[in-house]
Amino acid sequence: MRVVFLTILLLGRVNAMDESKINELKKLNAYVETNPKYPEIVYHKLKNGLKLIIFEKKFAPVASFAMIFKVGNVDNTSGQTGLAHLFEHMAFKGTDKIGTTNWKKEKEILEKIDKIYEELNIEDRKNEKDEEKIKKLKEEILKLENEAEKYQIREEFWKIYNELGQSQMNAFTSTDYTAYIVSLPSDRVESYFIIESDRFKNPALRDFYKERDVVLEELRMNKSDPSRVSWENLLSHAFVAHPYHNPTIGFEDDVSHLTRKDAIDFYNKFYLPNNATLAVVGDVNAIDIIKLAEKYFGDWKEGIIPNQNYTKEPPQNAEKIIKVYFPSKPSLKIGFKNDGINTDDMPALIVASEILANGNTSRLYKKLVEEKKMALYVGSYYSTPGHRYPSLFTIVSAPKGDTTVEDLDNEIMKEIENFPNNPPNEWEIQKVINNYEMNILKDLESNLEFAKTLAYNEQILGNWKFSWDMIEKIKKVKSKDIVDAVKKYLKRNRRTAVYLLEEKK
Amino acid sequence: MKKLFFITGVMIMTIQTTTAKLNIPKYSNLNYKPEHLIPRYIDANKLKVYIKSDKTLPIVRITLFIKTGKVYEPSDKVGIGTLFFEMMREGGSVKFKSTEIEKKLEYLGAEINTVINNEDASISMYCHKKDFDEIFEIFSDIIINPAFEEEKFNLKKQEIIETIKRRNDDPSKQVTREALRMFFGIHHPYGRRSEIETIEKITINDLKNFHKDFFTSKNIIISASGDFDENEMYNKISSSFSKIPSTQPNIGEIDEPNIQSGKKIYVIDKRLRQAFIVILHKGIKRHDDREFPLSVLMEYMGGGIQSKLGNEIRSKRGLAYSVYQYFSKRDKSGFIMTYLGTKPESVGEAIENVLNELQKAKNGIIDGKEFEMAKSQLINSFVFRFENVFSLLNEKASYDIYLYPDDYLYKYTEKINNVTIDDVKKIANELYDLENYLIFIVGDYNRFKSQLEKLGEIKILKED
Repeated sequence: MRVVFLTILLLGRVNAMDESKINELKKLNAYVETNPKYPEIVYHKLKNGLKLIIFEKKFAPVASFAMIFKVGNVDNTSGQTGLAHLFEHMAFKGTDKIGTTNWKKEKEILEKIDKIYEELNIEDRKNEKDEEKIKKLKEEILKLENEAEKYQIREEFWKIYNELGQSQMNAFTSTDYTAYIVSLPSDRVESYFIIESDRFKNPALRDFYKERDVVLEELRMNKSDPSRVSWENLLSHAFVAHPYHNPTIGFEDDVSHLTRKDAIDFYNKFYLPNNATLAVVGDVNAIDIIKLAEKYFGDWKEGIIPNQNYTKEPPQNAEKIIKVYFPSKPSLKIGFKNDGINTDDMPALIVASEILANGNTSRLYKKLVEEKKMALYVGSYYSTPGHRYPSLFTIVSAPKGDTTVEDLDNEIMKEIENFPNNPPNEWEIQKVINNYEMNILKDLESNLEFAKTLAYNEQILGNWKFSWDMIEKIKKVKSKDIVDAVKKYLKRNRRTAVYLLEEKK
Repeated sequence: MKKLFFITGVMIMTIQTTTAKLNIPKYSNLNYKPEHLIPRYIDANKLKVYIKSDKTLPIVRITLFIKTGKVYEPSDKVGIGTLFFEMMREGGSVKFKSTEIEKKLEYLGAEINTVINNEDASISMYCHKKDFDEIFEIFSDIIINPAFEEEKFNLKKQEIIETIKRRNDDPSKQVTREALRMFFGIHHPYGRRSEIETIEKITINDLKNFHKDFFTSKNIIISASGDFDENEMYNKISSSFSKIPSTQPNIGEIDEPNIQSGKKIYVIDKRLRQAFIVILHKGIKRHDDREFPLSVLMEYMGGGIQSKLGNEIRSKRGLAYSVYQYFSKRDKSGFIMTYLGTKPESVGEAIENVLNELQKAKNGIIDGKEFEMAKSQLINSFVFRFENVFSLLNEKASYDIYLYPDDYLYKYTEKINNVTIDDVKKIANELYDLENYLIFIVGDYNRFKSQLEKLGEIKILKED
């Protein structure tokens, strides 16, 4: 059989650094990847633990940045679900220097507002609320907010970046991590370090309660989206003890009562340089980047990262079928418990996922969409909602025509249960390998996508080389390993199925 | 390595950074001009081709831009464009069966994709350079000799019908589609939507005619980028695509839409946690130089969290997570769309605040500093449209297909830079028409009914 060799080598050759530059980088305590199996990455760890990954791609005069913290909604304690996501919003609200004309005075007012909100929370959570008191407290807050506004330059953080010509500036929070991304013309990379170091060292968390309202709007938007509603139901029913149970955006009651003090405590615990990786990809010089990182992030104090081991999910030992009624057409989501990304079975499970539902030549597509004409689409993923803890092997689909969700589910289970009788052939396995290699190339086309991959691999999966090393593991997977993985994991007593059914008016 | 792009140090304008306390260096606005590309033409049929080698990665990308689109579909066969391009991708060719193509592409991790928009379409291929000849042979056969296999045709038809049945599942898509439908008229090509009846009527013969109507060398531009020798690539493209006929394309004339005057409010009553709102104003046609001040106005008013609407609706009042405004230009008309989602209880307040901001701009109240910021954002982020050779070529070809002047992209930032605050005030005054607009809401009507009464007469529509 023909094996496709990827010419990552070629990429290395185009960008190859000369000896003197490599020596200079070594003097800065940086590591330069010279193994042609991998791209020519420069890796540097600051004394405070911040990890820096740089890839020089000298093409258009632009650079992309991805900063990833190993903190997500999974790290929020009960009663504070959604805090990681709300904090991500707050990270755009400026610092003690950005967004204010007088931080000292503004801060005094913000602290007064915090105190009243603490009082308001207590009252609001009582069974018998004193509505008059609530009204009075809200009036007081409004007065103070107006006073604080006198010192505020609203959304100055965005304004500065926009003036610089940012592209793709955004942030996202998952169950596992929080990522901050932006691209800039490459002549202004120093600005990135000036702004971001201030952002993560001195956040002001101004307008906290207004932003909480914005997040509540986001939550309502999600609750109007059938796909998100069914995902939330899948996770909350599949996990009963592990915090993957909680929705990433949080429970409405929790979000409604989060306070600025909660956010400050959360920031102090998790937003540490030794809990983050910054990846920079584009038209940059790695030497300059390391010097800028040292200059601006060097004095960011490291800390002790809290224990991130949470209640282990107990074995499921039951098949769960959940029916959710919603004003939309029906769909199906299935999740089977896996044992985590670092288990020896995972490469085989990844291949199983691809064989089952990647593309029009996959088994489920051929059976459900083409042959039986029961489904509109079918897809799968080996690890939802994340990789930090054991998660779910998921399958998604939607019935077509007169097919019911139940019929569709039965047909999928039939195909899975028949899998051992029809072990994967070499063609199916090699297809997966080829696709993985092509996906890496595709990632490399975009500065930002590549920066995200590098930072994610390093900070969440433990090594920026994860994608390349996983291909090597996948290459060793045998047909029998895949059958064994399907038999072990895609079992009825490991599964939860969510039937989203049309709610008639 | 040779850089394909350049930035000159010419100072256009100095950025006034907003804080002195954080020592951010002052930068000039970028004076970025995309590289000027010279097309080649296939001898036999004069088909325009942009070819540029880029050896950064061992891949090849080719795209065919076709001047066609949903608005050019015959009125009794609305949806044919979508079905046609699905069938181009999956319906096989004379030389290759669809199953053979799927197996080849998926095994190699290669792709052939199709897109149809309102007024243009494209077919593209992506593969590793070592697989190029194999994939290119399939790609060109699909384009020149599509087979429209019957079994696939029936499957795709069923899929499109199922998608129509599901078109109201996502309320944000529903509200934008239905708002435009009422704005331009339910029968006008800019407003209409595919229906099950029109899809059912389409035959394989119709697809063959569609191919004949639009696949002519006068109606297509090709771009090719990646790891190859440019002359070799030209020869390959030329030898395959010289077979495309040079006949006149059959693009029907579209009438100017009749946009109704007055304030129109439409509601689809649906029990949802959020109300999804679209406000539409009349915009400008394609090839209207007012697009430059209008681009600045859109950035200023609704281009992100820092914009006027972002600030007033989201940051200051916490009324929405999603709020923005943009404009879209078409050959015969255009629109300005304001989009927001808010809880049912604050629908009235949110709409009033939007209209209030538009009114201020209409009255000539434009913040000078924020106006300059909007310009800087447009000028300095322009370079990101050309992050690699593939996007450089595709940007150029996608403007050529609409017959924009050859130097349109080259002069873009200059034109934005020349926009004055008075130009922006003028365009705001012209287009923010507070007497003529359409509001469309999808949401739990009973919970916001009373808030809408002062805005005008409300028409309740049934979801279908």
